[in-house]
Amino acid sequence: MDYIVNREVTLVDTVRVLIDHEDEESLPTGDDRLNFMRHMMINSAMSMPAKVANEAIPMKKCCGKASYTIATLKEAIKCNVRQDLFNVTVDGKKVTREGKDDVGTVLLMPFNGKNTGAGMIINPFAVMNDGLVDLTFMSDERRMGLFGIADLLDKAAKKGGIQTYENAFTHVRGKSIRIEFYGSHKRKPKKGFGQQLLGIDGEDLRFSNFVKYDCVPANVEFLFNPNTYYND
Amino acid sequence: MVYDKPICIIYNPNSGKKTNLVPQIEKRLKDEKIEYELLPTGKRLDTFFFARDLDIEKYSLLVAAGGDGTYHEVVNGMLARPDKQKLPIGLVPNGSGNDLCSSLDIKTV
Repeated sequence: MDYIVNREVTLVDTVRVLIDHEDEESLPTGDDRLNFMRHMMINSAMSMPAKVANEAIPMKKCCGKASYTIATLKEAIKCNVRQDLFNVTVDGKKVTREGKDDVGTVLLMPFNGKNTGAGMIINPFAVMNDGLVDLTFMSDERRMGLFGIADLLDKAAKKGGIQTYENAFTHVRGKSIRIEFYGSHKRKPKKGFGQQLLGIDGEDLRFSNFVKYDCVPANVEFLFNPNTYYND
Repeated sequence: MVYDKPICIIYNPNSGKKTNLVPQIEKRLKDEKIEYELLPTGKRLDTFFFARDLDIEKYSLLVAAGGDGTYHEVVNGMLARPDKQKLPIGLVPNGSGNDLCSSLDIKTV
């Protein structure tokens, strides 16, 4: 309430998210448009974190932040900790990893701000008015099992982002990021994998083929203290 | 900025642990002599439609009181307005995660 009373306004970016559509013009009209477009303020999630968030939603009322831990365990029991394959393009340039054309990962998250659910900071470099979208994916193959993920997420909650120097994650950034789902590890890439889970600012959505993230600089005004924000 | 019109508080009573923040918000705004209107939401996407459809010219500021879902819907509702009009947005954290407020260092009501 102090910020509202003090009336200090700062412009911040939003990230326009288009689901299975290349541009706004091709979107349906009316309320159906809501299924294909959002403005993201903080973060988005695909693969494992989207599955965990989806599982955690009904438990949030009773379990609060612990719902994410319980949901992670439930996903592990269901054998859902597996690498998904993505074609990632940042400002028109394809992201490659170890000579491969696709990114195989269990955790892939675009960011506008740096915070993630349950107080975690996975990408400490994301800033809300730098005109860029940040993308983080887990790239250390040795840590892509349940215990590796649990360890990294625990550190993300306790170390405030410092764990990123362990190099388990790769961070890239750009004005526009396109992510295409390409199947799962050890399953031959083919069309028709069905709908995939997509989290945007905690909202639970679906996509079929690809998602586009475009930064919209200085799009909304928020009341907060920019000095504290940038000092942090 | 100047509040020459009331501020509009879109309040989700079901967010997070369902703490009733209304008395705190009302007391602070009355102490500061800031006029306000309170719009409590009922179901999912109410918040979106309030921000998209309200008569924006009646207000100086939109306040989203709730969790990340509430902020997300207020921002998206405002940006989906056919008239493209915008207002500054204030945030009052009352969710289970409050990622946006944490990012902006807004930690308490």
